[in-house]
Amino acid sequence: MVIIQQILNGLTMGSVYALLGVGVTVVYKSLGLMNVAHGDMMMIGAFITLLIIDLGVPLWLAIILGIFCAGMLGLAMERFIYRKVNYGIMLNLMIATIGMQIVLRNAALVLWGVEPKAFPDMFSKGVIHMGPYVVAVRSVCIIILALCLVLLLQLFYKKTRIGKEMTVAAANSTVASMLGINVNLTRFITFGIGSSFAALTGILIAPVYFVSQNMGAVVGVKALAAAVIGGFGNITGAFYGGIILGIVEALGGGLISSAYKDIISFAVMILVLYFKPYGLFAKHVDQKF
Amino acid sequence: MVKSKKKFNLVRLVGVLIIIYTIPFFFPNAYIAQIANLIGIYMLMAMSLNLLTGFTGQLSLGHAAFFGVGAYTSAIVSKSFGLPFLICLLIAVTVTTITGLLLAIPALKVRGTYLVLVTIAYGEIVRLLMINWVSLTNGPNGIYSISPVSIFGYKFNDLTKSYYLVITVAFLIYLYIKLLMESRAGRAFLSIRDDASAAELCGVDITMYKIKAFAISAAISGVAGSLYAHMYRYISPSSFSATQSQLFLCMILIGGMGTLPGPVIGAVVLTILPEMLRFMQNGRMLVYGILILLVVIRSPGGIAKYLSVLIGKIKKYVHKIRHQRNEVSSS
Repeated sequence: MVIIQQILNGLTMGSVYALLGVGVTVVYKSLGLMNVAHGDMMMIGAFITLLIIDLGVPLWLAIILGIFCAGMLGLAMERFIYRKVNYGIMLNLMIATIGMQIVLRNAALVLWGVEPKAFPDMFSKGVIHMGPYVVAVRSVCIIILALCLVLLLQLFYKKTRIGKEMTVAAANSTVASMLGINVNLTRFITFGIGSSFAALTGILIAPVYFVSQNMGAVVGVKALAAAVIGGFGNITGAFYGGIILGIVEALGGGLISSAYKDIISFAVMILVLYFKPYGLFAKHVDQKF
Repeated sequence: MVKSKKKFNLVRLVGVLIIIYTIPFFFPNAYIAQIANLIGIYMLMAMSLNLLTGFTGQLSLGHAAFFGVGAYTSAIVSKSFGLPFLICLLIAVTVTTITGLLLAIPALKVRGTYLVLVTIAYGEIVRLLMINWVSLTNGPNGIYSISPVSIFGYKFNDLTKSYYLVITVAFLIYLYIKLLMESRAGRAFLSIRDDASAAELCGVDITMYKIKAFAISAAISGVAGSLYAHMYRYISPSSFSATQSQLFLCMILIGGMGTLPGPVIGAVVLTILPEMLRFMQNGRMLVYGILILLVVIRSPGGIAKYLSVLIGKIKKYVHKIRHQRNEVSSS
């Protein structure tokens, strides 16, 4: 009884991790780059949306605008920072994302201070009773949204021209540029998609966790964990990875100790890397670094 | 030629020694002395990380965990059993080395990005244990009034004395790493970094040398952690966060990864810089992040590489002038 309820609770956080994991994976898939700054991009996205709401824009429009602005910011970051770092040296690129993380987190500190800020709720507070179990409406909405987005992303990669070009460029950038694909453009778009995903996740969790300068710190690492558990570079894998991570965390928190739930999820990540280095749902992905 | 080079090295060595040992005479106040001590400890940490990341190519973003394990072990042993400093140090180094070996088990199976993730997870686990294992670590409040450093009854109880201690340890470790890198093990480390498969083909026992790199790196961090705990006499989980690990990585990156002086330069620059920017309050870490981005974009090899290029240019210039002068005098 308790276990099933815990699993249902875990699904909510799981789909948040799934969305974050997908965001990280989009970037990893196309560049082989582990974007450490993803969690902080999420925080910035939530803050931008909050700023737009404060201007008096209706909530739904503010959310769309917020995601759009975060996407633009991601594009700008690629254009003015990551592109200037040599794409051949992954280590430097990863350090650049660490630098970006420090910049984003402290820019938020300077602009908005340390106090957590409340965020208006876009979902109803109601709950759905399913027999003896209870699920929040919010959870159901988040799960459905996450599923739709992952499907859309898959369609984008499989059906649209630019999506296909991005897949080719990710597999081999030299061959791609010989075929006349604008590799820089695919990288540019990649960061835009990644950042918009981050902002969306930030908006989804903001009503519960509040918007604060530090909100991306632990969740950002969880995003990486979700991506790893599913198999880095594999979008559906990252989605499942996030769900599994959420459930494991809820079960561990409920059955063992809530103080140790984060430790459990990181331990699971190390175990997965030890036993299945390419993730649970591995389609072999080229490791560029 | 060889002899003159050796002589030059000796002169340089004595020069460096004189400089680092006269610095305390110019300490204007305790604040500066405190920073000098911190620089010493960060130098140890940066050198430890440089051995693993710069020389052996095993990127770690969890080094603050080693640092923390060293500090906590030393503090707990000292507080609960009242053992003298040197024994605490030894136990701390032993425990840290063991955790290093434990981390090596999953770390040997993965590389690159995946290794980074293992080390991040390891760092987070250690930090969360520090916070949640309250009966052992006193939780987020940390451990205070740890006994100060004393060796055979001689107490290093003021900042100048502890500066001498830390800088001596740092200097010895520097020499150790220099000798290590000139030995067979050092060459093996470099070969693993440059091309692991080629190294294996040439008969280098990759697994053994990777474990060795992890163990030595962890041991040096243990020394740094133990010194930190007994010098500051207060430790808390916030000193060993993921941000701190990133800071260590930035130190060797900005100083010059995979070079001997790199971590030393990095530790000095990145410890002094935030203090100099202190007037900006919240903005100082922002400037710090922007600086890291600038270094990555403008001079990816770090300050050490930049300096060596600069020195090369100056030498060339001097040579050119000499050459011109000779030509003039001969004609």
